[in-house]
Amino acid sequence: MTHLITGVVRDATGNPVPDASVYLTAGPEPYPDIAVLSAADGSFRLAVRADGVYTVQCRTPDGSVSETSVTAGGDRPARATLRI
Amino acid sequence: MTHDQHTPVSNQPEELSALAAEQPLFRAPSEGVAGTAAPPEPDDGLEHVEGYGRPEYDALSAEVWTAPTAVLPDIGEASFGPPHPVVETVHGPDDRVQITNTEIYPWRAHASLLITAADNSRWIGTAWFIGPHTLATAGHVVHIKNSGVPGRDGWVKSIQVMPGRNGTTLPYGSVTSTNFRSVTGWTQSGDENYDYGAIIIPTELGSTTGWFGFGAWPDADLLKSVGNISGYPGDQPPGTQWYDGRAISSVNPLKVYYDIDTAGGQSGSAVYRIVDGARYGIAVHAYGGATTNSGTRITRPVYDNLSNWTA
Repeated sequence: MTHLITGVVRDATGNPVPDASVYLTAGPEPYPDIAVLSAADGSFRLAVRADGVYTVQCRTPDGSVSETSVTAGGDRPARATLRI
Repeated sequence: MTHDQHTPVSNQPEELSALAAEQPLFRAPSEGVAGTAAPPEPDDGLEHVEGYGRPEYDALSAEVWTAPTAVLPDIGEASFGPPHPVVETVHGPDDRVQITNTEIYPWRAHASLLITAADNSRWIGTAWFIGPHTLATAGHVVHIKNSGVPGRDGWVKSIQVMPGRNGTTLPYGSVTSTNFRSVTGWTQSGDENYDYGAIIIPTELGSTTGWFGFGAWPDADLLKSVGNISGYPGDQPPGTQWYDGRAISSVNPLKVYYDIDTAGGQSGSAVYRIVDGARYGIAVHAYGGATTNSGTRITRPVYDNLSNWTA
């Protein structure tokens, strides 16, 4: 079963950050080792297969890094906010 | 009518037996025609990269190991799974080193990918030349499966291929492809054991950059091999190439497992071994995993498909 992790990358003032690479760095089972780029509005969506806690990390084009943990499972997407 | 519950099964699939019995099968690499190749390597199976040192524990011979004293998991976990462990793609110290001379072989045979999916979302990945106009990569790089996002699943729209990229420098330019290959085990079943594919480009750029060989080797050969991975991870400055190498941890009939550090964006990288100075792909990197990362093993069917895709 697929679970969604949705989120947004924002800077310190709350503005969306596009073109940040967003990827998983930890999770309860193997995950594809690919990265999505945040959209113009800073948003991203990643799919995972297993319930559990995932660590989502991003790196912005200027080199700032942020990460957060989310719990995927159930019918609703897990929501991740990555603030630089 | 019910299925016969006594139908015999084995933990030694035919494919494993066949592979273990057969002779190694491989295609030769090419170093291309541009410039010079990297200098000859020490005969330790690793690339000679300034700043890279093989972890001490990784170089220990099997004879040095003693029986583990740690508490081992119950075998029931093999069937029913562990109680939600946390798994990571960088294991312990991060040994990756940046490749800065990406314009020379073998580094130029790796390509940074900018992928545009069917829903116009953009992704980064890695691929490696296996012929003049063909790059091997992960299946999920060319065909997205089970994304849960409307309009995203299916063949990606396009991939911008940038061989030997080093940040904003593109020593061999870039070429955009809309021509992809994979197998039904991935595109229909979404089975990670069949997660491999190829990108066909409309030029013969691989003749300039060179390409890797690839091959199917028996378990015993792989288990005494050092694996090398270079690719374009998303946790480093955009478009920079990073390398790591360590011993192969384990294999099964369809996968190769290793403790080589990677990060998101390296899906599709070659997992390769060096034999007599020549580089051969043995797997296509695709997943971060528990204590090891993993790639789709190049078995006879994979070898045959990759070979056909270079035509």
